[in-house]
Amino acid sequence: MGVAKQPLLEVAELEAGYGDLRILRGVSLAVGRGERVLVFGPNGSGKSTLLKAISGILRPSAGSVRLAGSDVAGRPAHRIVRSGLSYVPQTGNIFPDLTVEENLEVGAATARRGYRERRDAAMDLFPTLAERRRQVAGTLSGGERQLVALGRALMLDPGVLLLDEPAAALSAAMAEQVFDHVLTVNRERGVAILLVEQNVLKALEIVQRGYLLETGTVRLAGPVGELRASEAVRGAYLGSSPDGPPTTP
Amino acid sequence: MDVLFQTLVYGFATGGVIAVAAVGLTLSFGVTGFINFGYGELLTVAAYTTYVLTEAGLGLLPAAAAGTAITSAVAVGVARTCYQPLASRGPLPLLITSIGVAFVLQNLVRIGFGGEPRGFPAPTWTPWQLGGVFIPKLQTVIFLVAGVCMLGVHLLLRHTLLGRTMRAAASNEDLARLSGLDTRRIVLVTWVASSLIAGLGGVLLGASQGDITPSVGFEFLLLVFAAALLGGIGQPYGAMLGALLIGLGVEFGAAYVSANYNYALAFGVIVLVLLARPGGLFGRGGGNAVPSEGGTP
Repeated sequence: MGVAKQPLLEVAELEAGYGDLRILRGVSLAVGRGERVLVFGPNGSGKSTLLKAISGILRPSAGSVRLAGSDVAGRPAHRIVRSGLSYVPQTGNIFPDLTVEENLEVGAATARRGYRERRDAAMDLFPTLAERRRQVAGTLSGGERQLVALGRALMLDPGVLLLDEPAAALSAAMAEQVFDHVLTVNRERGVAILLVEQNVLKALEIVQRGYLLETGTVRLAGPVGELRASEAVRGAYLGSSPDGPPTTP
Repeated sequence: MDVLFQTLVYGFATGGVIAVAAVGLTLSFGVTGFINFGYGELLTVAAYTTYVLTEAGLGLLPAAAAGTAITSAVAVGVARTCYQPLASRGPLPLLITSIGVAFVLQNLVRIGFGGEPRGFPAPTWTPWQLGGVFIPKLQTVIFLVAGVCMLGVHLLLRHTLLGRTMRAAASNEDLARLSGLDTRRIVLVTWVASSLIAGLGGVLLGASQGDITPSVGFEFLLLVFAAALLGGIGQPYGAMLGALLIGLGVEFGAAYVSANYNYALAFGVIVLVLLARPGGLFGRGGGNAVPSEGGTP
């Protein structure tokens, strides 16, 4: 059983959408302390909407989001992040007009005490941040921007980090590096990771459990071994995996 | 030589006043995302309240300070009652509402004081004389005050946490919320800052023009738009430079061609900028006025 007795993040029967369009139709999932969990599924299945609804950028219409035991569903995003949950969106995840260091400082604006220590720790974790500290973030390369985004998200010392396709639009080599960075954050800081990723083959190498989302509900959940063995996952997501012949869905 | 030098000083003064107004406008645009046509009336309100308070016996400085504070209160009141309820509807309804706000404020002033010009209580200083060249003292002081205001805005934006959070909210509002910032509060603080700057701009405008009418701010707004556009709207540092160029252009046009062409010049600049560089001289790419010290890879 991968899930600890009391999960750090526990989402139950979450529903959300845009106007009349319902996208999440009762999603339940849990992330334990220090755990690495993947959410995957076809385009339009609600992966990004799920992260938005958990983080409060999108107000859920029903269900609960328990963070260390207390329900934060419906609270504004700026309050939820202060309770220990950070979210890195797929796009627009840095302040392009601010320098690297200003990005970190704004990330810590609501908890100034200990900011320098957290900033230095983030720069130790990712030395690129120190090298580029005075550079305007919008002028960085794609991979470097992801580091700024990760660094900013760590500034409030989150217990869990929500990542929406951090390696999208990066070269294979850069994507590899970003996954390494995510692992570093998890191992060195003990931050739990809830990862949304299209590259399921790659993502399953770094997580412990996963949820398959389809049309706004959890179709399948389990540890990596079970997912790899599942027909549904192998057919649609691991077609090119070496341990099985490519299958057409 | 004499005319050239004086025109230069007048140009810097006019440019300074435009710069103050343009920076205030740009600040609120950055955070709220709509072009506020009611901004010119804030200058008018500041000029008239300063005028009324000096008529009532106050000195120019206390009257200007009180006028600026009253202007800010009016601006926050307008923002809360007229703009905030529409904030989620996108920029167009806000823009049109702000035109309505401009007409209402302008005509309230007209009801109170009539349409005929009133003399703004600017100090009547004699010019300095430097080796046969007359340097207008009032215009020099206006430029210096504008310069101090620009420096203050620069220090606020670059060197205080409040300024950085304002820039962050302007740069990416959702991410600002995801970083724990209460963006509604930042928008409010920005309104206060922007309207205080407008108040100062109104006082400087009154002092530089000598006479004020109920439409003084609205007419001036065209020059302010031209400056903001020239600098790349939403870019405070671009607005400062754009304002100096427009100010010099206006005064040189008035001295060597005719003062009647001021607005033609401003319109000409707007059209040319929109045709050639829609992002402004300093917009996009060169967007950040402070160059990166780390250099690009």
